Amino acid sequence: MIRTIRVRIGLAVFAVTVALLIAQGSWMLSRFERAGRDEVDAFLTAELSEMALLEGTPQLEALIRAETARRHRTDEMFFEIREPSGALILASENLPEAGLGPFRGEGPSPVFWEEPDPRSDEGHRHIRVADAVAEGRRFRVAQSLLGQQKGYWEFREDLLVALAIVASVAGAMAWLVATRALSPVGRMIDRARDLEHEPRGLLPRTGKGDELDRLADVLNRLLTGLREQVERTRRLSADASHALRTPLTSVRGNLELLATERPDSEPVQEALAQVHRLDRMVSGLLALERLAEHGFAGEPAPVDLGAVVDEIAGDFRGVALERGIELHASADDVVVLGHEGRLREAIANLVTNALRHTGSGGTVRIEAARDGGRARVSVHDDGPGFDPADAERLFERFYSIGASGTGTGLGLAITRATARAHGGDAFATSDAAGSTFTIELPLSGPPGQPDRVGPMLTSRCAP
Amino acid sequence: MLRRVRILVVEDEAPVRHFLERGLREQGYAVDSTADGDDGLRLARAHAYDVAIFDVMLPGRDGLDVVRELRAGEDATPVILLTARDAVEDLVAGLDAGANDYIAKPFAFAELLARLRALLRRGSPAASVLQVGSLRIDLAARAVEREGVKIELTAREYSLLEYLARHAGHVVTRTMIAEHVWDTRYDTYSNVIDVYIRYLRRKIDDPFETRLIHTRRGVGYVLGEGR
Repeated sequence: MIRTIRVRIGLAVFAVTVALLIAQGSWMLSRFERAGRDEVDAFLTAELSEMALLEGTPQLEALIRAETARRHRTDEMFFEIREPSGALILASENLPEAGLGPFRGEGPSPVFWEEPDPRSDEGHRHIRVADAVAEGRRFRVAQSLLGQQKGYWEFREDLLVALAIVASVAGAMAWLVATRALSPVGRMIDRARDLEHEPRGLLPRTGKGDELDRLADVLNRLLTGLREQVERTRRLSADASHALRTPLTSVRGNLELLATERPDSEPVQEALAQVHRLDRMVSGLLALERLAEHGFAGEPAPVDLGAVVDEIAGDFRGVALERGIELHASADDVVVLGHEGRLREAIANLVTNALRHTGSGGTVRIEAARDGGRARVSVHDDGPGFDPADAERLFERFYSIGASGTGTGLGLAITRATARAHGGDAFATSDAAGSTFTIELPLSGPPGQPDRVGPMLTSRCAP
Repeated sequence: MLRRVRILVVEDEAPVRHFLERGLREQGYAVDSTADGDDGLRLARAHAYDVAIFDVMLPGRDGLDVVRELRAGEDATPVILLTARDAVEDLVAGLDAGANDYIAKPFAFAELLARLRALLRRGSPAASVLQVGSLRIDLAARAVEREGVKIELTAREYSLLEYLARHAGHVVTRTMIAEHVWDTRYDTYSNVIDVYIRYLRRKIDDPFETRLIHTRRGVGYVLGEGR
């Protein structure tokens, strides 16, 4: 979820907005603070001048009393006038006992600094102090910054709230815009997923000529090119198989005549055996080609897989017996629609395969059963099994071709192609108990309604 | 044989045409051959052949056309088509055109011979009993006896024996057995066929003096007296 582009865009815009607003807020806050400070300093400078002017007159004391009295804690003012020796001349009543520290001003222009409010435990209340020397006296005016600081804190709080709202809205808008902009990508992904089953489908274009349209165009061209390539390769393999048939006919025919004349010639027999094998490979390849292209031949008819499995078990019992292998079959009534001969061959291929990979004393089990809405024929052997990583490759053409020089390496490929031509599939699993090869096919009728199949079967069996 | 059976072979691929001529002559047939479709049609019209074998892909006039022309002229010469394609549509097209049979390349020569014999037998009354040496097969009762001894066979064993007996004296390939007795491709059933031939031998050969089932190495099996 966090990896989707629209979420990443949303988060990025949110983060950038937060950073920008923090920078701007800090600058505004420092400007705000400096402006407040300048205002206080101008005021304190004016007060100092007035004190120096009124020094020695009773108006000074009245001024101090009035200024002290009319102010509150947030803008409280302090006054102090001393001799250069340090003796107190005059001070406002609210001046703390310890004073506001030593004087710093040495001349007529005031010196400003900040001093923690000695009456405050909180520490963050400050007092702005201004000292100046005039006419042999030291003058000091101070004002509490509490009001200023409160304003500063409120401003900062407002800025934070604004930041949260603006950044969230910006992030959400970015997410929305990205979602809208990327929605064709979602459709492309869905479509691409469907394309696996559509041999001619293409990716959709938005029709706006934007980047996504160009992407769709490029991918569609690539797709078409690959399909043509696959089709050419497929046709090449089919054409090659066809082209091989005429020379094979002649070689095979002549060798058969030769074998009749010289039945004991080993080279002739060996050549004939290999020509037969070549012939079976070519036929097998063409059969695969036909299954992939046209499905199985003829009209589908109901096939009782249970009966087919029983029949196959009967046919192969002798082969198994001679190899010291036990062959068991258990078959339910399972009816599918299809071609009986092709299905028998598909299942028999699995049995042949299982017998080949089971040693003397082993057991091969053939089962036909319903599994949900599917028919399932599985052939299990207790042989050594196979590497599960090879489960898919086992069904590829020529993968299982033995070094013995007799097989065609097409049996399992034909089984899978047959199952697929019937709307099903074939797969293999392996574990410590051996391997299981399974064909899964759609049942001929809806499950639980075998009656629909019954009459078709009888009508087919009728003369 | 009072009269030699005459067969026309029309096949443009020289290697295939040559081996067909040679093989058919060895079987005692009289063979005429040509590589060209028009030529084939002319020959077929001029002579009364017992069977004509046409390749589908021919220069001049293709096999299907030749058959259509023949049938349009009320010529009923039995025709077998040869083709390098065995798709069902091709088979249907061939039979629609009026061919009697159809065989896909590469084929076993024994299979072509079997089909030839089947066409030549046409019209002769169907036998109800097959007799091969001292072996007697009652087709209606599906009963088998040899030298008067009744032999019990399973259904499959019987089907296999009957198929061999219908081609008695001629080679039957394992592919033909797989396709006709089991209705499947040979590959899957090769071991099964071996086992069933052994079963049959145990029942109809082992208890008796002479053997009837012979192996033709590299080709197939023959049911009959003598080697």
